[in-house]
Amino acid sequence: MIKRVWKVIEQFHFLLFCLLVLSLPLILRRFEAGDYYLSVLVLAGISSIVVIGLNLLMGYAGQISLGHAAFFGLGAYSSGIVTIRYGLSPWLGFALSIGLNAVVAYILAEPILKLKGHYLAMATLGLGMIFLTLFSNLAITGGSEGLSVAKLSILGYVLNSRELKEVNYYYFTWSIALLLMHLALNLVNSRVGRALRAIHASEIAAHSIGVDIAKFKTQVFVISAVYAGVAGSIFAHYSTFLCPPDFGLTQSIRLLTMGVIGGMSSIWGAVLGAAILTMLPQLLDVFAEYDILVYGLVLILAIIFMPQGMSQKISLGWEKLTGQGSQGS
Amino acid sequence: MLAAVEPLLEVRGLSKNFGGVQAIQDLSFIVKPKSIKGFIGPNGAGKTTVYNVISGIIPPTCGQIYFQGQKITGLKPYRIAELGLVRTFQNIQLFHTMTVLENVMMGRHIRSRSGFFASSLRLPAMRAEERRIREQALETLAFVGLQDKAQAAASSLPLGHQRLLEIARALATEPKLILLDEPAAGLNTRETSQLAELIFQIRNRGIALMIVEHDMELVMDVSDEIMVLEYGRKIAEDIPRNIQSDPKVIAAYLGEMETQSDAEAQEY
Repeated sequence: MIKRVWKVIEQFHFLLFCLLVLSLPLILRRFEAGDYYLSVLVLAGISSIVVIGLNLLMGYAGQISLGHAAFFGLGAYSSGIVTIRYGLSPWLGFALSIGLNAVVAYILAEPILKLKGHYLAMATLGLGMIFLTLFSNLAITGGSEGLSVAKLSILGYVLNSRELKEVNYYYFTWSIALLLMHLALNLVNSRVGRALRAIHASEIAAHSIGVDIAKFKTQVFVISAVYAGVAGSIFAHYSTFLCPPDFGLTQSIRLLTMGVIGGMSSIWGAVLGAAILTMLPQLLDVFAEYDILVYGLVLILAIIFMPQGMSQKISLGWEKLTGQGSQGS
Repeated sequence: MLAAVEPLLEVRGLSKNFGGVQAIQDLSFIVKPKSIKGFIGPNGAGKTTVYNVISGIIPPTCGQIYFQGQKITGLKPYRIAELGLVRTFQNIQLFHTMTVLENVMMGRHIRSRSGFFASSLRLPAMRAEERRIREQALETLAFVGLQDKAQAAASSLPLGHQRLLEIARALATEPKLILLDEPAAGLNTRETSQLAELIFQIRNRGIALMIVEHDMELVMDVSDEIMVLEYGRKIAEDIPRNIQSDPKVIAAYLGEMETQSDAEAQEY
C-alpha cells in the first residue's frame, strides 16, 4: 500500500509540486501569515526562473556564467523603459525583454563560449561589469538614480494594487515559473539535454560523434539569457523601482549560489536553491550588512559537504526511504 | 575484369608540423570499403596524429583527405562524423556522467533531429524519435554484448567494457568507417580475442575499420592490409604476411627494442 503511494508521488511529482504551489497562499492565510511571506515567495519564484536557466547553462552544458545579473537587468530595464519612457503596454515590454536578451546573448555567445574554464568565468564577469556600467550611466535607465516602473495590469485590471496584490502577483509569477520549469524538465530529458550533458562530460568525444558543439552552446546560452530576461521583467513590475546595484556582481553571485546550493545539474535544484536562499536572508536578518559573508560561508559549506547540491541529497534520501536505490530512476 | 573499387578514404600527401617537429611527412594511403586496415608503428610514430587530422580535430599542414570522393580537409569534426567517419580514443573518452545506454544514445545524435523547441514541448514526433533512439541504442548495445549494463553508470564499467562501449557509441552513428585507436590496450587475452571477433562482425555489417594497435597478434589476425609508420613516414604497406618479414619493419621495431634495452642498460 505504502509502496503504491510512493510510486504515485514519484510519477506525478511535478503535478504535486504545482498543487503545492497553488495551495500555498491558502495555507498561509489559514495560519494568518501576512502578505510578507507571499512577497518572499514571489521573489523566490523570480529567482527560480533565472536559476533554472543558469542551471541549464552551467549544470548541464558546463559553461560557467558569473554575469547572469546582466541578462536579469537587461530584462528588467527593457520592461521599465518600454512602459515608463514610451508608455507602451507591459506585454510589449515582456516581448522586448525576451527578444533583446535573445539577440544580445546570440551575438555574445559566439566569441564568449569559445573560451573555457577560468577564461570563460573572467569573460562573463566582465560582461556583468559592462552591463552594470551601462545601467548606472545611461540616461535612458535613469542611471544611479534609478527608474520607476509601472505596476502590471492585465486588460485594465492592475495585478498588484489594492489588497490582493501579493496573492495576484504570486499566482502570476509562479504560473510562469512552473511553465518554464516544465519546459526545462522536458528539455533535459531529451536528445538536446543529452547533448548538453555530453558536451559537459567530454567536448572532444561529443565533437567526434557529431555534436555541433558551438550550436548547442549558443542555443543554451540564448535560452538561459531569455529565462533571466523574463524573470527581470516580472521583477521590474513587482518592485516598481529599478536601481543598478540590483543587477551587479553581488546579484550574479547570489544566483550562482542558489544553483550550487540546490544542485547545478538539476532543474529541481534550481527551484530549491532559489527558495532556500531567498528565505534564508529573511531569517538571517540579524546579520544585517554581514549577509554577504554568510552567503560565502553557505557556498563554501555547500561545496564541501554536498557538491552535487541539496536536490541530490534529497533524491538519495528518497531512494533510501522507498527502498529502490538499486533501480535508480 | 575487375572494376576498380573506389576508395572509401583517400589521404594524399598529408603532412603535419608541430613547430619544427614534422609529426607526419607526405603520407598517402587509401582505405577500401568494407576492409580492415592495420596501422602500426613504434611509439611516437604519429599514428594518433594521423587520426586527429583525419577526424578534423587538428588541421593538416598540407595534404588532402577525401572520404567517399568528397574532400573533408578543413571540415569540422561533427560534419565529418555526419558523413560516416567516426573514431575511438586511445585514452577512452566516454560521457562518464551518463549511463551506458545514454552514451550509446548519443551515438544516434546525428541520425536524429529533435531540437530545443520540439524537446521542451515534448511534441509527439519528438517522443516517437526518442523511442526509436532508445531502441536502436539497445540493439547496438546487444551487438557488442553490453545489454545487461544498459542502466549502469558508464564510469562504473571495467576497462574492457568501456572500450566496447566506446565502439558501440561509434557504431550507433551508422558509420562507413571507424578509426579504432588501440582498442585492445589494457584488455586480457580472452577479451582481446572477443574484440577480434567483434571487429569481424562489424566488417560483416559492411563497415570498414582502421586499427591502430600494438598487439601484433591481433593486428596480423584481423587486418586485410597493414600500413607501418615510423617517424611520421610510411615505411611499408602490404598484407600481414609480407609485413612480418619486411626488413624495414623489423628494423623499425628492433630499433625500438634496442633503444629500450639501451635505456634499461643505462638505468643499471
